[in-house]
Amino acid sequence: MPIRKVLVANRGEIALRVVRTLREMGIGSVAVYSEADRDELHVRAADEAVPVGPPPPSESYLRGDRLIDAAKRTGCDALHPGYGFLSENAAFARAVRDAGIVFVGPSPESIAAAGDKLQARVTMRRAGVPVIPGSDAPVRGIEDVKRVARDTGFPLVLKAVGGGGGKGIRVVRDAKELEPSLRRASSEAQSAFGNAAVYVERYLERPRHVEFQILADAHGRTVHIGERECSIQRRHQKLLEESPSPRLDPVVRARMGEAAVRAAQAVGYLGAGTVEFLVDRAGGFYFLEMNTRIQVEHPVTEMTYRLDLVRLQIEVAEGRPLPFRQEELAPEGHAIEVRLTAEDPASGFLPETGTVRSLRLPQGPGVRVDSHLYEGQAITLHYDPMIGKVIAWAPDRDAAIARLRRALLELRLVGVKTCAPLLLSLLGDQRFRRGEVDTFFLEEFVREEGWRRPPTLGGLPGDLPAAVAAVLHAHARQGASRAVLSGNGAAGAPSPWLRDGRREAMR
Amino acid sequence: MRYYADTGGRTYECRIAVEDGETFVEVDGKRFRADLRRIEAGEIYSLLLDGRSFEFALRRRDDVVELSGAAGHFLVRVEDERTRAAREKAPREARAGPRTVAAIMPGVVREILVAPADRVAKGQPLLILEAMKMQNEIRADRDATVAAIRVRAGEAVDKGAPLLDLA
Repeated sequence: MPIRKVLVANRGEIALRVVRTLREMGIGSVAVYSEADRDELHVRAADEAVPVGPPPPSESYLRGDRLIDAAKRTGCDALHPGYGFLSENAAFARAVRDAGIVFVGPSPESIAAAGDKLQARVTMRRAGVPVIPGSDAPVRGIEDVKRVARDTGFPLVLKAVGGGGGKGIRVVRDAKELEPSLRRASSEAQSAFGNAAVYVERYLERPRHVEFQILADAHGRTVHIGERECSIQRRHQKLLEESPSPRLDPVVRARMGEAAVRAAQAVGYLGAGTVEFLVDRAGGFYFLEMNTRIQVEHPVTEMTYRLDLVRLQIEVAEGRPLPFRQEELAPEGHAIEVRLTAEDPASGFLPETGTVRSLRLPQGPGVRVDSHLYEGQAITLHYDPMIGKVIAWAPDRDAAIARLRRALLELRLVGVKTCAPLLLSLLGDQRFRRGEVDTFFLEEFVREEGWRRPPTLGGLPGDLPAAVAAVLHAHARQGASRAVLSGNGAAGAPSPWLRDGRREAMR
Repeated sequence: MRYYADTGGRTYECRIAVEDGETFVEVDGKRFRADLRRIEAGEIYSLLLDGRSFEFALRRRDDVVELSGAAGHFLVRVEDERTRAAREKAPREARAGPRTVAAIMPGVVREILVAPADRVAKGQPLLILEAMKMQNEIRADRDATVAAIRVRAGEAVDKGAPLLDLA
């Protein structure tokens, strides 16, 4: 059944991303916005826009009833959830379906099956997908933990059943710590998640995070679209993703791809999703979790496979078959994405707020920027600090790194600090360039502090030209000397910037 | 005219001279031919320094210039020699007097860890400010006495809002 109009139940860059594909497909788009987001790009880009409540997400973008009501009132026949917010909420997906609207994503049953961590462990093992050795049920007391520990060995990790996103995890390094750790883990889980239940898994030392994009249609075909290496993360927040993974054995890669397809089939998957694995240093890989939505990092897959994953999501939701078989899919070149966040890495990643001024985003060959930034935009604390993604494609990894560095050097953004200096330094790091990364790499890199020194440009310390520009600007503001401006300033009218500087000074 | 530009913990001493219609800047004793031009209404500036090309988005707030260039993001505090001399002559007690600790970001005051008249040591946590679900300790920047507390626990504050006074 063709989809004619889609409610985009999200904000920011992903809402803009979805609207773009809808327009290319000739499908109508309806944006939603909170009171803080009236001026946002996704509202201006869509065909229609509906207000859904006050700025806090709990009163707007998380209000499933208002989103469904907006879809009904505007005559939408489908709803795209984006990522975050309600995208992996089975009850919401069910409510959308019950309202007679197509949910662009898997069924509520698949979302629930993938979302229950313990159930997913059992489902995956039955499907022949490797899982980390551990308990398949909450542990009942210390004797139970000791029994599981005989299988897992040490170190092991106690995980809150109700946790997620790296929260509610406690590493235990030897048997003596087991009893006090269990007590603490249970009480932490109770206070943080309202559920004291914990389970046990073997702890993997310095693993890599490698995930596979999967796509399934309603006609029984499930394929994987290659992997993404996402080991560069901080507090379980990814900061850089790339495809292909720089250090993945081809045999392991092939086995992981097959396992990812089995994982998706095991939960009756439909649409685009991601199967995340941890890879240990011996090349063993283990199911971590399944994300039942479009991922932030989907552009690296789109660039190496020359696909539009959002278009494919929509087509599959319309009931159309996937237009390719597994053996027809082959990646080309290398793509890297960095997430630009309004956070100051120099002060412990404090979120920055302010108004965006003097913005210029990178351009040029092989560069894609997915961003909802605009001049005059207010960056607030209501929403995620991610303000955009810069993605570079090139024939090989070294060229992709050079291209992404070049793109980041073009970024101009005054008003809020961003993590761009850290990203630039990371891209220049020799270990990163050799692909020697794991999920601990970034936290250690941030602590090393070498990245805080501004880079040398044109043979000068990076901050020297900035200091000179600031001084010349201040000097001109004082109207001290018309001749400060060279070039056209030798005679005649003062230059526009000098004039503006004086006007500013007189205010 | 001589200027002092503070950025990232270091100070560049700059002297501007104009000769035959060309501008020269001497930075810590090294001399550059300098040409700064405003390009766009969006406050983009091009700087040629001995022919080497740099570009900045630039915005001024009071005596601080914010710049975004290829080498990163900079806050540069610019002072001319007269202002600096005047500031250095200012009575010392003015600088040692009561000082307001302001919120470095908008957030919610989670916990106040000190009371009026408490003696606090440099680096001691004063209160917890929560933003983006992260708890941030606001610490004393010097040994002092808490003169007044200007917020309550649970209160939402804007960036720059006064939190407490140290004397």
